[in-house]
Amino acid sequence: MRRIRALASLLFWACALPALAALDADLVLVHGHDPERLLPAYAAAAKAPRKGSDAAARLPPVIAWSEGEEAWTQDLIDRLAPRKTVWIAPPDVPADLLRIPGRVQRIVAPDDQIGAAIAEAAFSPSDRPAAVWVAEARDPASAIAASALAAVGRSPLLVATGRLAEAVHEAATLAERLGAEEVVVVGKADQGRLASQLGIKVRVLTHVDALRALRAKVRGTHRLVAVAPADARGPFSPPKLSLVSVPYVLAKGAALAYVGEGPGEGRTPEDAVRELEAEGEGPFDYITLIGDWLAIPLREVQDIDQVARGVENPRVHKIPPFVDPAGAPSDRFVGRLAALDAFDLSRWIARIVHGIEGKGIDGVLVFANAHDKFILGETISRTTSAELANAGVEVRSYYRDEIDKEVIEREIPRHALVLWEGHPTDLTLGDDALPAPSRPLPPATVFLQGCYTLDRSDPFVLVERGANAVLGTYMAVYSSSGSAFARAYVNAQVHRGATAGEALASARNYLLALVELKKRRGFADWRKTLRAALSFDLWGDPEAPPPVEARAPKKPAVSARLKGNRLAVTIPAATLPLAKAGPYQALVRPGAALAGLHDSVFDEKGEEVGRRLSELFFVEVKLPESFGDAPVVTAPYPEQTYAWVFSPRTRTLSLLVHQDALPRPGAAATLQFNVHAAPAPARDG
Amino acid sequence: MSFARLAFLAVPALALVLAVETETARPENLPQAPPANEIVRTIRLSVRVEGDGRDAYLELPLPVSDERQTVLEEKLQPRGFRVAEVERDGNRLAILTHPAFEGRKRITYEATVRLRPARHEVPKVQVAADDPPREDWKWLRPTRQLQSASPLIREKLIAYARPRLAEGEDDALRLCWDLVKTGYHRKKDGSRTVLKATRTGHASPKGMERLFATFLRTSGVPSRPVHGVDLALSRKKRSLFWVEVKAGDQWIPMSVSRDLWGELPAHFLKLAHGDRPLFVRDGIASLNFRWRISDAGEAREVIEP
Repeated sequence: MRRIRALASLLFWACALPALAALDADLVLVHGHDPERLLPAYAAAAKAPRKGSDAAARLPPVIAWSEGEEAWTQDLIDRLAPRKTVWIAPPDVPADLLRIPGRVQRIVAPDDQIGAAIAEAAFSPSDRPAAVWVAEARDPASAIAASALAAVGRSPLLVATGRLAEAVHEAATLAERLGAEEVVVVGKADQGRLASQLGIKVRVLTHVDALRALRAKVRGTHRLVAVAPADARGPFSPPKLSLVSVPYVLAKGAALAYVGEGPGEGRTPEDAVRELEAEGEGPFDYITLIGDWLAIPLREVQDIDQVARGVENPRVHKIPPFVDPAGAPSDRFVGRLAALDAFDLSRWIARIVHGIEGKGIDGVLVFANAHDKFILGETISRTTSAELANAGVEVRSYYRDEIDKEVIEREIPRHALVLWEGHPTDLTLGDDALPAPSRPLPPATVFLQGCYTLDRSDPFVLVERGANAVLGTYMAVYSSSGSAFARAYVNAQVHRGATAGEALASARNYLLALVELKKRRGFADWRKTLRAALSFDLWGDPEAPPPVEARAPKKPAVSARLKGNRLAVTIPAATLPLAKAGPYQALVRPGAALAGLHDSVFDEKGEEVGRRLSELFFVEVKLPESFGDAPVVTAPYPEQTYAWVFSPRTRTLSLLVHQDALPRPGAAATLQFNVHAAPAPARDG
Repeated sequence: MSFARLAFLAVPALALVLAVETETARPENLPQAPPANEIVRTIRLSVRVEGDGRDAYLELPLPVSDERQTVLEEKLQPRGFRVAEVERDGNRLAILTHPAFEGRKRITYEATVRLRPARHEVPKVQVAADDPPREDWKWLRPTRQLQSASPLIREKLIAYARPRLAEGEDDALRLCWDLVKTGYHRKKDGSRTVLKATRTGHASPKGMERLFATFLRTSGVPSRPVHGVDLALSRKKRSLFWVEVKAGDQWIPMSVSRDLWGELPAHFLKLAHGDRPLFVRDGIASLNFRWRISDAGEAREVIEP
């Protein structure tokens, strides 16, 4: 009797739960990037999110592919090892282009029938979808939003390639068969006329309404995804990246906004955030831009150093979004997903969302100063290697002529974090092609610390082959500032477990604090440091965890603690091994920072025999609201030994201390600082 | 396109003489030049390969007879390599293989060819606003050397084409041709790769051809690079590189670096097309090659190494 009751209960719940079904697959392969095939596939593959997840829907990896993409697609299939795959393609695609293990369900139909075929395979009357969604292929802004909404509601989507009215009629028939209450058209249509023709409830939403409805489903989220649907149509081979953004948006449970030309109405990502936050959405901490710099343009600024020096025609540089050219601290965690085409991006998103890991891949690979020109940067880079080793991370480091094509080819595919420091052409063969062109790469993070490394094809090539994140620059940076930035990034991940976006912001704020310190010390070259601070960007998921696992450091790291208004910075005694390159040397404590600041080392005769890099200590603490938006730091040390920046938005105080604040060089110490709110400005009269 | 499928399995160290079937030219494609411009030449390709003990694989492109060029007779001396002839993407390839190949060998290919110049009317081809038909994808997608999807390339092309499109000029061939002609400085030692040429503004002749093909693909016009031989040059290395553009059903030859708009001189022999190296090889430690050209009557006997 109990069993019968349990069975009845199960049946009751099975009937009562709305729209549980979806394509039964742990991998969906969609041929091409046509919206009529791809967007209904997302809707049909979506399941309810797992309990406790932030996601708006749960999808298996949905990979768009085409002829020419077989090698990279096959590599991902092999990594995923699916047991059940759904193959969606037009009839003339040979079924043997990919080796797919396990069971394969093939949904094969011409473009004008593929939406119905997908819906047929994924939905049945017992699923009771609330609606059948319709959009037009020629209106990607509406189709993308409709796909996301249909996926959230576990409802089918039809994307019209011909006349909209015909697709709406087809949707009405489907709705009747599935028991759906309404047909929802996203785009431009006459609601009254359609309703009178169909005899079923019809709702018409503009893409703006649809985006609002989608945001309502994820209200309170701190994540925003900005896409540019203008990249889905038009001449000169637009990459259609916006079309494959849907799984990322759903997996993150993010708000979606349109930027760029066309449906983006010329908005920048900053505009979009400002508008939405003004409407009470957000606040948005993690922001992902999906689109290349043609679709989502970068802001351009004149070279601040050249402008200050009065250069007649200063160079113009691109700067990443949410970066203030005047040097206000970084207060959002931002990443960009840009790829050569929708195929590369769909694989990248699958890797990010599904945490696909490379087998036998671990540790960090450091290539520094392959051109033998950046000795100062190499010195800093050597301390970064030591820092990682101190945190229990396996590190393999190569310098100068140890780096050759053979070593690059052999080592890059084996590591989870690749730190390249130096001239970027070293990484390329001929130009613009990595020296491992035929081999897929693991889902690693590749940090290209050099000049203009994001302004060339390297990041696209790395992403195409399998990298998960690429960090680099849009302008020229000095090796000391660049290596200092990379070291600060690594410190944030190793010692504080920062995500990629958080580590980027932390490293940027380190350089901005360094700018303030240089000003206090009277150095005129602070603009070069500011330029470096503005130049780095992340291509990847800003929420990506550190690519390597660090243990508690063998030798303790620099740390800070705020108690009341007293900030104690603890400097341990034990140092990392001495790093030497050319005339430069650095002896630093774990967690310490470096820059181009140095002292001369003299021999007994008073002649300079080397240069010792000054040790810096960078710490970050959260300040309560009581400290106001412009806290002041004071200390019993000379003013030129410390500087800070503060972000009111994140309430993060980033403090940088020079070794001159120590009682004596190399000593262990606990340095004491006072933090207090800025005094209220005096009122005139 | 269909080609002669000849039994081409050779016994090592034996030369095999091949009779080559000539493809019937379609009336609309007939070159307009008179037969008086025809030339007949004997070409001899000598490929020296060195093995390192691995299984060796070598693809040798063989000229295809078409409306402009006719292979009258040919002979391949594979020197112990096993040979198979295949047709791939419209190319005729001799696939040479050798297990555990060590030491050096010289493979020779000799053919007598009749060629005539070609001149085509080049129609206007509009910049594609929509996705191209699937049958054209092969010659539209980005490849390692034709990085037509790169934002660097798209940025360059869009910046150049936008004002001209606004003025109603939408001929993709003319836009791409003019961009390569005016947007790059021709330099003998300029870059051969499209991205570096775009960054530096300096392109070698080969780089210019690649840029043209790349911009065409970005504009939605199928295009493919062509490997050929210049039979008029006296140099040992006579390799040539030009581009074929698909306009309607025709593949039209064009060379932006030589100012050949829809025409090809008689002394250009086509070997293969597509974004592929002239010789595809694996398991071969080193390879070098040379051409020898002679009038058909003066063709020398192949000299054994």
